[in-house]
Amino acid sequence: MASKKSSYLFAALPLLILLLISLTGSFFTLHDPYQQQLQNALLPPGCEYPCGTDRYGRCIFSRLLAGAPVSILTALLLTAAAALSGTAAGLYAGYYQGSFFDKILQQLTNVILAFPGLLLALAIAGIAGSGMLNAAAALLCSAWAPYARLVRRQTISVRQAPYLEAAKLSGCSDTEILLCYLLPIAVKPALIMAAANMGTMLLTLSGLSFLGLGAQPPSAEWGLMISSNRSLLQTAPWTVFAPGMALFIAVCCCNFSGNAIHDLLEPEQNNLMKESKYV
Amino acid sequence: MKKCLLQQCLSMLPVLLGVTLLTFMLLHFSGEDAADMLYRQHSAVSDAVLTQTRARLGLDRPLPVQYFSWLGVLLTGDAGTSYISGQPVSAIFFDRLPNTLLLASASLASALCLALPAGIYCALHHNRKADYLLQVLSFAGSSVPCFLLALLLIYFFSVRFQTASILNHSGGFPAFILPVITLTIPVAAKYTRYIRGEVLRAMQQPYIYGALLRGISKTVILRHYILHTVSLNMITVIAMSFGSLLGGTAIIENIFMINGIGSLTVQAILMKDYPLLQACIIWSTLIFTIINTAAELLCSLLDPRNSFSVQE
Amino acid sequence: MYKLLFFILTTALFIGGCSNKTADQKDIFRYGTTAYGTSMDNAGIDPHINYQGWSAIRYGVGETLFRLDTQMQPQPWLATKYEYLDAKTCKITLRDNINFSSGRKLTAEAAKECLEHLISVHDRAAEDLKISRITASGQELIIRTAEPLPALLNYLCDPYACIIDMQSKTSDGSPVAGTGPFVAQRVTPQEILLQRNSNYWDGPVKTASILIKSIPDGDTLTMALQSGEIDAAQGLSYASLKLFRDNPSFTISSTDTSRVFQAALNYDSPALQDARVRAAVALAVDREAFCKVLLDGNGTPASGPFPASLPYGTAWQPSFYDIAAARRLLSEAGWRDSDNDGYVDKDGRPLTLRWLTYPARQELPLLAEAAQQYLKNIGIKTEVNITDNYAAFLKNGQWDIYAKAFVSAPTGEPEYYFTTHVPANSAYNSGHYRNPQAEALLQTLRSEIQPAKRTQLAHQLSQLLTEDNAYIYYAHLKMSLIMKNNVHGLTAHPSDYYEITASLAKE
Repeated sequence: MASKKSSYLFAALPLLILLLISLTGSFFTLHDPYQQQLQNALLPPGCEYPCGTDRYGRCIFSRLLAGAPVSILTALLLTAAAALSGTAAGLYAGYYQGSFFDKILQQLTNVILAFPGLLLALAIAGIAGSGMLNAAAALLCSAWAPYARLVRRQTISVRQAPYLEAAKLSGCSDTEILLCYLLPIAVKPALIMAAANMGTMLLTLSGLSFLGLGAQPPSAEWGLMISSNRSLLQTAPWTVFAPGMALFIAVCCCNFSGNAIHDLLEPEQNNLMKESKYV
Repeated sequence: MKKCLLQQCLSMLPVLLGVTLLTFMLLHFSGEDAADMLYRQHSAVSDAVLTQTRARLGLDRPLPVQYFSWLGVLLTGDAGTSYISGQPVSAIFFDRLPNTLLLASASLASALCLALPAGIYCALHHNRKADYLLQVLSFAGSSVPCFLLALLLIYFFSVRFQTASILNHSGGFPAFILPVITLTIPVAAKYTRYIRGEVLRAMQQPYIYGALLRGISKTVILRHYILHTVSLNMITVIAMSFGSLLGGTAIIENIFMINGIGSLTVQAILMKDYPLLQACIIWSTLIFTIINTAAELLCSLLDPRNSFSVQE
Repeated sequence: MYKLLFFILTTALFIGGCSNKTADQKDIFRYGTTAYGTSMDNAGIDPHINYQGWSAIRYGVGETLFRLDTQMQPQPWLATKYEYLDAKTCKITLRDNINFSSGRKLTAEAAKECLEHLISVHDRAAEDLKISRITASGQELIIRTAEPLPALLNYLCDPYACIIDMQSKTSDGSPVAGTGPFVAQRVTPQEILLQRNSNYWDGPVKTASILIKSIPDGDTLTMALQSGEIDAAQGLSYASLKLFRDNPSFTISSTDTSRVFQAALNYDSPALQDARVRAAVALAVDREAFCKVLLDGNGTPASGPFPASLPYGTAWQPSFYDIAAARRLLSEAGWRDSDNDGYVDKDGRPLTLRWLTYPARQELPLLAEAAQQYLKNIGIKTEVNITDNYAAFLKNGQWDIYAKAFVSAPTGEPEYYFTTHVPANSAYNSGHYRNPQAEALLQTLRSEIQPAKRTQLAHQLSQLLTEDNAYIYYAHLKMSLIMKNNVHGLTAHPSDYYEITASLAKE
């Protein structure tokens, strides 16, 4: 078996490739992804246009590359933001168990987790108005809660451990204990959960765009591309399948890395299903 | 037992209160109030009329007063009328609910029927060819965007082979077949992975070794010990999935033109029909909370180790 | 055991899926349409409410006294002849052999009751018809208007003027009784079930029953037609028409209509008050490319409210697309790209326009996105807002350009369009366009009886609207009905509202 280091690399590889594409993809576009040229409308895939053109004559391949940061980077950043804020809140609440903050946080997570599935995010996105930023903010509002609950539970379970008592006696401040002793323990489950949720987040974001609540035309967000080309499914299938396949592959990469990270960090655990909100 | 039930029900109350508060605040900050809405469809009105209407509707009172009076009316079961159609919103919601319930339960049932045998099979044939194949399939299944899947299914089954109906003529089950398949695939894929893991984990437990050593046959162990543990864990997971199906079928309902609550919610959002949106949120959350509580109760009933005293 | 369960379940699912088709009734004609529904204000068949008359006449329930022919000229329908006694009085003789589906005979008295109720409840009708008195004797109906009304016969062709039996019209919401080839059995906002009217006055009705189904999604409609679940469809997206064009199992009936894609410009927004900016916006869009590519040839470029096929229509002028001129106009108006970001600005503020439209007409979003590019070409930034909730944005003034589809000559005469779009407070003048000269011309048109003069006045008015760029016209649309090749008697009509007739038949 390969060394642990290389297996981590192997696990993260698809994710890194995705990141690379979304960060540098816009340098490899063949045409201006937003420039309409009606005379080139609906060309099938060929040399000039590897994925064909859409009904406005825009190069779909270039649009996929231009849309990668919108779709992928937003989803990854969103997952990270949710994990971070949830971890911070859960850690603090768990350490000061029973405090006012803890009680409020617990009520709030309970309330947020009481909304079935996407409902809360849908409602917030709808009221805030369409737009990628609003959609992301809406998802963040409901996505941090499971992390907070998980981390809080984890923190409480180790709070009374003898080595923490020892640290306290040796004069460590609360901040030091939180950051140096509790954080590393609490981060692991949050990391696993975040890794498992990346793909779902990507799907959810593009789903919101598909419904018209996320990115707006002429953005090259993949979910939006699928929904606006829906009526061409039969006459120009590439306009739907190209963004569809791109999304599918991206989600596969996220899920692959997520699973691999999970297996590496916690080969025993299988309980994430219960915690994840969008099963 | 009765005490436990009561306790569990009581613990629902603060959550539900929080849900109503959050919903109220959310719509309060939407920028448009009921007075604006009333006159939205008509031509411009003077500010004096708007102020008058606000006073009549009680919108000039302090926020907490407004909240509690709204809550009071809500408790009588009256959630208001739709700005668009003028019908009572609760009636609209419960008119649409059966479609979504049917869709969600059919998808869950078929997902279970696929995932349970597949997951157990994978676990029993751990690290063999069939296991890898099913693993890859379930991996792909959980990664495919549901709207892409829906479009593909419609294209192949309805247009190319013409085997499935597109229009929801009678509202019966047959028209639900494609949406159910669409929803089943990702759920079944995730369940397969989960069940495989659960069974593998259960098989490594000492008591299973013990049972094996005592000479109890594998089938009996599987059926009585492992399956019992797995199904216990599955109850919570199923309740969770039910919730996400309740609130997350909007895309599928949209594509397949099913008049369910998912499409109703999206419609309410797009038309800014806030009473309808409020009703959708509150009723679905109530249903979801009840299902979750019921699942927890069921778990405790089935599992003697779970006691109600252990609570966060 | 689980394998067995799995097997049983999948088989059950598939059998369930397949058996559904056999359950369909064979003898019922299924008609899918995107044009019927609550959002179109026509969900129902009571002609005296909103636009429900369109549904009544489209689906063969109601008929009007006069009917437009394919040249959009009124011809007697329920009437046999008419005669102007003087400029304000018209005598109409009704057919003597017609009964309502309720059984009552169509007499002048019945028509009088219906029309009087119409003008008492229907704002648009009252405003159009200007009826001061109706007298009835036998089969002779005498309509007296408050002022000379040259377009009376055209207005009597409007779907709201369907003659229905007012005595059978009850308050419990049961369908109205008309004189058409079909009788409504059940009417919901989603579908209408029609049965043959066996006592129809104009020959035998060939189809026994029809189900009108509202299918708001164009793709679903397309696939339902392909899979054979409906027999004919109205309102397919233009992109999917080519699927049926070369397919021998389907027939298409198409015709030019006066439905126009037009954009109203908001005279309340500061930037658009400058005539040069409005002209630049109008010149920027290549309507020919839009019609050819995005409408897939199902539209003709427009340079006025009416298509060239009508006597008062405007012929297309290629000079309406001129980017260089548009750029020049903008810079004359002081809008220049001073910071080189590709968008023009003035006093440090970029020129940003909010384009409002709705998705119910499937090609309006395409126009919006294409226009966004064309306006970008001349340096104008456009924020596109596509929403079903456009009425709220219109009311709140949160828009600069509002694009919509509008049937400009539903009754074959031009007055209606100008009445609704020119006066400052008229129903569809959403941009608060004001031009005293145009209003004066409209007053003249209203009382002018001579057809040649009317045509000339309509020409002048169209030209005025185009010169002012109060409205920008993009395309006149074709209307297509697609049916299986065994369907006969279903023909598209330029009026856009004659669809189902007695001759509809399925072999």
